[in-house]
Amino acid sequence: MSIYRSLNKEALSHKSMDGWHLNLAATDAKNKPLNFPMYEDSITNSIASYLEGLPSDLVSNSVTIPIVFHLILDDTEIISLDKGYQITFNVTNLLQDINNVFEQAQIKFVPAKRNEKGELLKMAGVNIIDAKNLFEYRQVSGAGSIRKYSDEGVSITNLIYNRNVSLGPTERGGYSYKSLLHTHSWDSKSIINILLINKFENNKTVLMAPNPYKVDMLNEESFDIVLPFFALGSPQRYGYSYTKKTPAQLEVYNSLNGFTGTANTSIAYFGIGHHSAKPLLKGLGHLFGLASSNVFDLHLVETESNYSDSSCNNYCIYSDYRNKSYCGSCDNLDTNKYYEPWVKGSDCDNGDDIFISLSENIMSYYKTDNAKYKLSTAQILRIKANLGLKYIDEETQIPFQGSLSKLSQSSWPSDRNYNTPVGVGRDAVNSCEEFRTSSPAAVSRMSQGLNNYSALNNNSSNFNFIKIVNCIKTITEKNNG
Amino acid sequence: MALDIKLKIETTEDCKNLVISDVTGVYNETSNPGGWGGFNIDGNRSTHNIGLYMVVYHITDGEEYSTPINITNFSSTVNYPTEKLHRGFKISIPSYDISTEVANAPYLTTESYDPIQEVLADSLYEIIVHVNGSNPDYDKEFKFTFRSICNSQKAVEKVMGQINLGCEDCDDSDIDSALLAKSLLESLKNMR
Repeated sequence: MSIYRSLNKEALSHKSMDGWHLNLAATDAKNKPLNFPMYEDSITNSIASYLEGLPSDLVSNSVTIPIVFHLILDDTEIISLDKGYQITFNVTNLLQDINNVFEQAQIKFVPAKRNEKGELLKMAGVNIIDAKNLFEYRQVSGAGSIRKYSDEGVSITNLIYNRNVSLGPTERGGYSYKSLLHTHSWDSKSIINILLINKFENNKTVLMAPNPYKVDMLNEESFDIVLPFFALGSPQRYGYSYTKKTPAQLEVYNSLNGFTGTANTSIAYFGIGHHSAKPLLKGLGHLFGLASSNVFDLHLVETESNYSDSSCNNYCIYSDYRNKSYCGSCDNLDTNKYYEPWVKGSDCDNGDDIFISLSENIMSYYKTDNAKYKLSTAQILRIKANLGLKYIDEETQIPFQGSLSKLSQSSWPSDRNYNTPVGVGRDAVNSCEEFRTSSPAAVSRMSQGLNNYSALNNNSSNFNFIKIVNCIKTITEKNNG
Repeated sequence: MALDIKLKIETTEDCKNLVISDVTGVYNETSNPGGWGGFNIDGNRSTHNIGLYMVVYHITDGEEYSTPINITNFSSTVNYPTEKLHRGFKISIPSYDISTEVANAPYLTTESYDPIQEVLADSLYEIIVHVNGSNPDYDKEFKFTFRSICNSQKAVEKVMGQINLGCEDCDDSDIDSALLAKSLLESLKNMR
């Protein structure tokens, strides 16, 4: 079965880490076929016009976009590192890490201050959802009719394609992804919804993210990103921890701790290490119209055991998925190549590619611990072109804005002046030199400042304490020779 | 008033052990309504259990960690002043017991953390006492924060003892550093 045909059954490969390519399957949606080549042409023309100084819809200025993290909790301790004593989920660190990357495209994410009803959020940018009893009725052969979130996690599609098991797609459990978005996502045209879940049912997928053109053309409600907590990596930095209290969490816990061998390799791959939420960065890239830099050849992926090294890459654009199969099959396994379609002469075959390290690029499947992730110039331009997407209603000939354009003009109550907390607290203690150059009176004032800062952020207080301890150690060891 | 456990938490003089003592005392309607006994549980060891665990804050390889650990040998190392009660329990935990547990945390992927630390690292420790049992049914946890500065105190005392404030021809940089270290130590003492 061709990849194209399998995808049009809306079945996800059992080895896919990213459900993004389901977007491509929509090219052949019966009622509203999507014209991805037209979309690609529009983006390319917009960029080319901008580069040549001609009128262009490309958004060249900086934009600020509200964001909210919905924490879908089957057990509250997942957002607590100290067994439920305090919420340690650290949205500040998460925002800092994604803003550091998207700053390159002049995009700043700011945390929502209020919910859909206009009520003030207890923690800006965070909406906690009690999902202990989240379930739906859906019959799965051999597994009853109740699909409970805390037992099975979230299913992307009801069908999973695994040629090792069956030639056709097979039914799977899990609380439905669409139900989750329908119930818990806020107005997607005004705010970016990031839904953090316990896990995806298939234990392989780490991300579901939208494409703006598909959302606009099919008039879809959801323009949201869904990923499991473990996909963020860095549990200490982001303040989450899997427990053994629900079957879904236990499954992840066992994988993270090596109790289940290599069965759930994507959990072990992304769940361990300090990769600064790589799948989330990739999901945001998709949301702004970027395709994966390396795309699975499902045949290779399914017939070989590896899940990242066996993927092909390079043709990182949306195009005619059915005929040219740009993203479906390729035989170039050089993972250092990157295709920039509007660069004259750029072609994967003639060596004119712009080289970029995929391990540092947000749109690859790779994670790199402690990496400073980058966007290529081409990706930045594509994002800016997607931000300016406009359409013309074929019947009325009236132009209308795309979803991203609306998002960038959203008036959702959010902290517009949001900046990652720095200054008197964290920065002051990052370097002993700051103290060295300060008078005793200034040190005293700084300490008071630390206390004030700490009142806002208890966790920072604790680590500031250690940083000062380390300063004393440095100074005294030097003096004691 | 319900049982309100009070602890005295300190390090030994040599900074090698963390000593935790129950100083809750006996219930008294006016002077100690949160004490053991009276309207509160008396902490009988045959009906109620005490468990102890901690959250250890540390920075390793530049990464901030708050690692929860169990004091697994609590029941075998605790001392009781009375025959049947938990009241007045006292435990001395060697530093290396704590550092070994921290090093074993599954998410601590770096090997930079020393698993056998001779002295208790100056840091922040959250100590949680879990009391539970039946007759009467009781299940509650009490949380305490302890900021250890034992090593910093000793290091600052040492440098302060070495500087010569009366020397007019000496390089002042050592004096400045020592005074800075002392100021920082005072800041630690004043941190809430």
